[in-house]
Amino acid sequence: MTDPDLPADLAELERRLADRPRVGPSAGLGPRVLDAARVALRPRPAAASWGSWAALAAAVLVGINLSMSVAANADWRLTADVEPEQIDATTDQLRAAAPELSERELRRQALLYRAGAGLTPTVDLNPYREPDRWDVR
Amino acid sequence: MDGPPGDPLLSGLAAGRDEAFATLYDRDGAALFRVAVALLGCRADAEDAVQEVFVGLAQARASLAAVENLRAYLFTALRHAAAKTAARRRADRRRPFPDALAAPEPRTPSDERLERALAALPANRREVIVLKIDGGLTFRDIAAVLGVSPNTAASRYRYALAELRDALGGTADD
Repeated sequence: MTDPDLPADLAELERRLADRPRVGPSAGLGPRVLDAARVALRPRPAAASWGSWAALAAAVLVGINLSMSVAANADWRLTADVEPEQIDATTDQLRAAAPELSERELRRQALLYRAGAGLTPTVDLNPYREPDRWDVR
Repeated sequence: MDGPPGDPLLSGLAAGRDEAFATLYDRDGAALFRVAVALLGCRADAEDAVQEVFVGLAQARASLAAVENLRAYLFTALRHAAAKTAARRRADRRRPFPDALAAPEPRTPSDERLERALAALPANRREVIVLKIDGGLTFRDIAAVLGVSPNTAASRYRYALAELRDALGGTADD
């Protein structure tokens, strides 16, 4: 420990410093320090960072915005309007085609026809299917 | 043992092995504590600082592979921990200032005078003496801790000793 290049008086002072009584660590310091280090070594569950919370908040805001946009543009009517004139015209046509039907049945068929006319056409994915008896295509 | 690549102690620390931390404490714990006491003048603060060094070491274990001088790394961390502790103590005026709690018993009047003269040195002078005498560091280690060249560390040490000698009245024998 002694520096060989030191003058004699400084070397003596260095020796006195090295020999002076010094306080040592308590017996409990070692276990305490090693326990604390052990705790620090334990893998901690990944905490959600500030960025994660910000990304989640942004996703929620985008979701709310899209929902409101869709809700505002959706057509909530269940069926198209059925005009009484159309019903009357259809009833007349049916009466001409099937005069044996009662007025009540003609009216019912006309209503069903007009309601069906408002349905959205769909694509037939199976062109080889045997047509149903009531299929008029 | 001071951190060349492939040092088993360093690799044990980097792997987070308990026995490596225990070995390191057995090797350097007392020296770290003595230096902390000399810098802070309070046993409780010194113990906190040593604990902070080991906790910091555990938390930074992934980067230990790049450490070349483990002893210098430890004492550099202790120096930072002591500075933080001292700043906290200054901010908290309710806590007692460095006191006789850190003083071993019994002390001769000559030792008391030496201790007081050491404590009265400017911090950078006291620090280099404490690192050399109480920490047992080489000038190479001290240079790494203080961020100076080994020659500067050695000359600073001699100046500090001379200043201490002068403070004691011109003779080393008091």
